[in-house]
Amino acid sequence: MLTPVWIKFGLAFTGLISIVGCTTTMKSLPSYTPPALSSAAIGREANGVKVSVDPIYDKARAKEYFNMDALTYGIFPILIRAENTNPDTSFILHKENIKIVLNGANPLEVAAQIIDLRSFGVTNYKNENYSRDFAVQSVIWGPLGGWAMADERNQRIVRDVQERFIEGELGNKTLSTGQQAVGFVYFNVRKEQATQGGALKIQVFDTRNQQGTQLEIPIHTE
Amino acid sequence: MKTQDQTNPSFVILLSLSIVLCVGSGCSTTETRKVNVKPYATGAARLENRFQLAAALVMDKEFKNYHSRNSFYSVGTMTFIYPFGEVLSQYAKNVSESMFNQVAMCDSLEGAVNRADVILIPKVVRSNVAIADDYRTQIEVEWLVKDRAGRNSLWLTTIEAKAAASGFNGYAREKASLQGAFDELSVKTLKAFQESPELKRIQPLPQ
Repeated sequence: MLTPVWIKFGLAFTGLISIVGCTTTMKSLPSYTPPALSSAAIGREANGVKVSVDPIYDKARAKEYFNMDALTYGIFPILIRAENTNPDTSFILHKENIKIVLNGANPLEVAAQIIDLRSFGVTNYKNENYSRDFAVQSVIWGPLGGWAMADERNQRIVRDVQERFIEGELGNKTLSTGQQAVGFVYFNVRKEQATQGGALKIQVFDTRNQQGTQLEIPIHTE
Repeated sequence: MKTQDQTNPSFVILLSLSIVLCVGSGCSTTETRKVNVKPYATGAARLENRFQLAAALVMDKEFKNYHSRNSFYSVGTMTFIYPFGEVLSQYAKNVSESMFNQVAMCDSLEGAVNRADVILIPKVVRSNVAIADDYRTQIEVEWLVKDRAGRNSLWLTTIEAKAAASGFNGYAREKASLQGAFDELSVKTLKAFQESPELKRIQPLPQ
């Protein structure tokens, strides 16, 4: 039989749950600021369109931008800045018109749109501290709890990595006079292949007459 | 953006239990979620800034039936499917009707040729609903505007919208993050249309 104390406790608990349960907060997500090109970036210009490319070979830069050593996992990011300085027209920039030709290889198109790391064929990604996390958490929570804690932290890191790749990706857009677009394009390339160097080919289309302007920009390790 | 390192123990215990249950039950589940999103009110933009042009809006089957498929991998795979097609169709229709004088609905580019001054083609680039301690919805839509013959591309833009919601009630978080993302998508799309110098330059064809 319920005593008054238990009834009060029940009412208080129900009240608390209904208050907590009804509170949903929108979280503001920071807007993305693309990184600056390094001094090693190489640029070309044609028809008033200036394009600069900055391939990310360096592990430290990859970690800074993506929280992951991308090239080790077969993802070759190239930072691109395209700017229209032509006062008379606009250009359409579409990722399907960007390719890389690495020395001794066939032209490669931009990788499929990223949904998650599996889009790149990266499965079972474990952050570099995973083993340490598992060991430390296992001491506190036991093997199952330790594995769950380490796995949960890894899931957060994977999500962070994915968000960085997605946020940083160059979007298809029109470059109006004076406008620029900055972002990464990603290619599925093995590290040893990427470091051989080559060229990035990019074609933009004039909105007045649909004529293409092609630029070829060398890419190589610093 | 920094990775959040702090881990909520109660969340982890729940996660452990769900994983144990998942292991015991065969490790793969798929669930179709209900998408309960109200259309964004675009009335103000409709009155002040619309183009004096007729548009043909092309929404193909892929767009109208778009499903966001979100898988979460651990020991097993949990897949949540969000049928966004209806909400996206409403969004594209609202945006088009707010920005253009007349809008004709079409199922294909061929069907839109020579029906209006411009042809509008929206396409979903990607979407993602991430579930952890908060709900995050992200959706990216590309808009291509072609001339009346459907041959020349006049304008292209990619709109990215995202929203996150936190709280105790999972259903409320899910609903709030979906609503937030679709609201932002409408706001950003209208802004992009309004600010496009390429669209401002287009003159309507004489009747």
